[in-house]
Amino acid sequence: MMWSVITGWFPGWSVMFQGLILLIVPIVITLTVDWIRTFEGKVSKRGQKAKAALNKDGGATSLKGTKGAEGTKSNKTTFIAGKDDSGGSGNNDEQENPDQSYTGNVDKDLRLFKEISSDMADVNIRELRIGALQIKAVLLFVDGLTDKDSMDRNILRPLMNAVLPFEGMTEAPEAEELKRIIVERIIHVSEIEYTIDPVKSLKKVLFGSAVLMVDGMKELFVLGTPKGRTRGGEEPVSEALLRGSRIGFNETLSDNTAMLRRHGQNTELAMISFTVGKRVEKELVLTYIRDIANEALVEEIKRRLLTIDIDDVQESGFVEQLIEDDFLSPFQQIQNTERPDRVMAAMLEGRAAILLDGTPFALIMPVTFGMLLQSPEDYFDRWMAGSLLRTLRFFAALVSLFAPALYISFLSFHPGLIPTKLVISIISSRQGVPFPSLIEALIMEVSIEILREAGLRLPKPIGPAMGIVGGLIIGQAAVEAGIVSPILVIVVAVTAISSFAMPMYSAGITLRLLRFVAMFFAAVFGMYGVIMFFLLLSSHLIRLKSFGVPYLGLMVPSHLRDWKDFIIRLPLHLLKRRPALLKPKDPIRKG
Amino acid sequence: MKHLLKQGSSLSLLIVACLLLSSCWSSSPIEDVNLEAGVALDVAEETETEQDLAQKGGEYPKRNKVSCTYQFLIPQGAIGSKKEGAQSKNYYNATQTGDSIFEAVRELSLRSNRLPIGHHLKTIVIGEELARTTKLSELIEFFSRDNDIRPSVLLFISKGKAREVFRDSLPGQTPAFVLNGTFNNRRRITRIWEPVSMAKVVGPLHGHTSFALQNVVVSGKETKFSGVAVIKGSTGKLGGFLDEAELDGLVWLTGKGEGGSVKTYSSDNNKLVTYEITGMDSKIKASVNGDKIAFHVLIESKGRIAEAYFAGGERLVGGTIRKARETLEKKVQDMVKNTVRKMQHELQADVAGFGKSLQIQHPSVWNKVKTNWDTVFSSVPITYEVKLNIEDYGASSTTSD
Repeated sequence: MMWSVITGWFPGWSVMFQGLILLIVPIVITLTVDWIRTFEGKVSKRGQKAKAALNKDGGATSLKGTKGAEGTKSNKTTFIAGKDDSGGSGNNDEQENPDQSYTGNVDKDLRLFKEISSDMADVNIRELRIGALQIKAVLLFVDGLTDKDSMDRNILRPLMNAVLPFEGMTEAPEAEELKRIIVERIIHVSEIEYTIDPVKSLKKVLFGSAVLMVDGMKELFVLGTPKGRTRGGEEPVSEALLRGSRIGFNETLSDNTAMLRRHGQNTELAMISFTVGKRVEKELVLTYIRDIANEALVEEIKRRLLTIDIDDVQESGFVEQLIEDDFLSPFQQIQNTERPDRVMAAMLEGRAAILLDGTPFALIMPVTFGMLLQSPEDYFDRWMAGSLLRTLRFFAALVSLFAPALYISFLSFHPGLIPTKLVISIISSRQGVPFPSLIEALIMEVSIEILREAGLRLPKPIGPAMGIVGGLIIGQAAVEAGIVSPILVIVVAVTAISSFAMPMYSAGITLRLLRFVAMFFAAVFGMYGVIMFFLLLSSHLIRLKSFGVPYLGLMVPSHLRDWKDFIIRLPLHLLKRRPALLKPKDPIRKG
Repeated sequence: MKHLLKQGSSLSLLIVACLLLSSCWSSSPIEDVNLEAGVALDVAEETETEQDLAQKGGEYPKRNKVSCTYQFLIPQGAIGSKKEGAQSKNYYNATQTGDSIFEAVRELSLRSNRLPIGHHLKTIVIGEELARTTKLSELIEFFSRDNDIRPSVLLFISKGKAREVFRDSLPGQTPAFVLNGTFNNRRRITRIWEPVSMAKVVGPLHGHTSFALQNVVVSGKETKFSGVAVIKGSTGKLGGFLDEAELDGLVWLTGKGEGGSVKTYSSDNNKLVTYEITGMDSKIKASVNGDKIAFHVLIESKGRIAEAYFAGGERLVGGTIRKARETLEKKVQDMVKNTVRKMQHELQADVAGFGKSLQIQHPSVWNKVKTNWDTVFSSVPITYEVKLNIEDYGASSTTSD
């Protein structure tokens, strides 16, 4: 009796089955993902590689400070540490190092210079002997910023060939005399300045001057050598802006580092050189701002870069895929950009960037979700315009992701959620459409994706024409042939346009991919499915991390201060802090 | 490796199977639904189609009590400009007679390839005869219980047959929507009662208080709003009608009008004066003295002169305007008194909210009288005060000639 009452409360088989599915499906998903990860771990042996690299004393084999930075590696860490203890947040090197000035001894001075330029691999050091007297001298310059050709002709050659000016001398003359001789009789350079301040000399070097250090002279010559060649700073095709610099990275690493240097005078811009690729070695530069970027972040990036084990790194996309956190996520955890200003802006927020020789695409890390929808223009325009555009982009992202899914779910499941007049015109427009809304939407979405893909490859003169043929004529014809409804054409067009509103092309691709998944969810479960898909996406995003920084970090209100620069951008004078999410060393931007 | 491949393929098979199994749960393509726009309920009277069908055996066991006429939309036109026959109707009506309203609408599924859905149902019209004989709560029971149908469906009573309201319309219009849209004209005329949705009716029906529903009459292709029908709280059935003039008074009494006109002939020279209402408000003040309940109604309105046929090109200032205003105030008071007289003595139903005022102002008294409020109300003395404020005279400041 009692037993029958109890069994009466047991749910039926169908409910049991649903409960079982609800229990099993997440477990299956988790197990599958785990399995894929372990499989990947076994195959790629990333973990072992990383350990091995770290054990080899900072991975001396591949972490190689090129040229000038050579041999100072052991000093470097102590230098940074010492500076942090004494320095605080400012970058006022002049105040910090009053005792550090040039002594007139080339060896000592060079060591001092190497110390302050420790993380800057692009600073070149050329040792030479002047003229007949063989006076020791060092020429300091930055690759890519100085015109090497004219430097060779007008500085190096006259200095090394200087016999006449020293006629009759057996010993190096007094500093004053030597300076006079060099300036007046040897060097063929119009702009000459003098400095005894190491920091100033470094600044000058980093801004394109060649600096000459001569034994026996405290003062250094700052020689204005004109900027060398550049393969035009052409406007980046993938990230065109209406307002903002028109310069984009090119394929030469030294040009690219130079572009970052050229952004403005700053002695804290570190550039650490790595060599990647086993068979084809390529130079890769990790760059960050020393007194902003979080130390742990930089160390983590270095560690991951050391794990790269591939015969040739063809493009920075390789690096991106090899060092990203989660290769199963559809979202990019490293941002690629062709814009130096974007890289600089990211670094000033406390991020780091990677430049690879041979590609104009730099990588910015860590990435937070908001970045995918931000454009440098947001900051260049006034704050209201910037905020409007940003809000618009968030909306466009939503449309691009969900519009076809909503179309399907409204039309197949929830006719009651459409306003009456609209539902009437939708029904009348769909009279005679032979396909269910999912197939209909798939036809249009797939063909527009094909069109877009084909458009990339079309020769430039035909491109727009084909776009018109594809977009207008096929769309119109499909409607008239009764294959799709006109409303769907609108939806697809709006979706396509919205996905182009993403300032990051790769983010647009992610949304395109997810849109199809959303469409299937909608076709199976209607709005319920769309909401489930959104929750699934959210739960994935919320645990996704990019270099230890939560991807959705800005969305959760733990850093309300960061919201000043998220969906809306407040006036610049209110943006006093760098994003707290990135834990920068110097959290104050200004004020 | 082989093992892994096997695992992977079985997994993908599982996923594909899940997708195929689920297919499109409970989806119904939008082009395959039949949108209900309105329902007309009448006393049972089978249409010719029904009789014909029944003769051929198309019948089911039932008691004939109610005839449900559903107005279904035929979507067309708006987009397909090339479609021929612009004159064809946007709707069609199907009637099913029976006892259960739900069963009747399901029976209609036998007569169409498309699935009737109620999400977009806008209007329920109940015929006079049915409303007098059947409780309103029974009639709207199905519509208020159904998940699809919105509680915002508007209720109407039709003097005559309700299905006649849906029968015909001007080209391009749908009767069910015309009825709903007519309420938009409340800014123009006071002879439209407030739209009463199903949600608003449930309370009074449960609380056995009287209320009014818009009455609609039909002639040929046109429908006209004509006064209100009064549903008596005690019976839950139709008790009677207030005609257009009495509705005017009711609207003034409740202050629910949004705009309209008042017309009167001035007492001294019998010339026409029309006043356009731009705003109105009314306060019902209940006063209780011992067992005696009394009400004082204060009506305030502002507006302008719309027509003034006084002779002699008088300027509309001072005495003239004061005189006009007084006649207008008197006119309003007469209309209100007329309505209240009808409510108290003929209908014995309070649809103007006197009870509500009493309930708010004197709850203890209300509790004593609420069970038979309509009877008590019919003998309550009511005094009136009307204040019109003529704010401007339009583009001309003088009278007509």
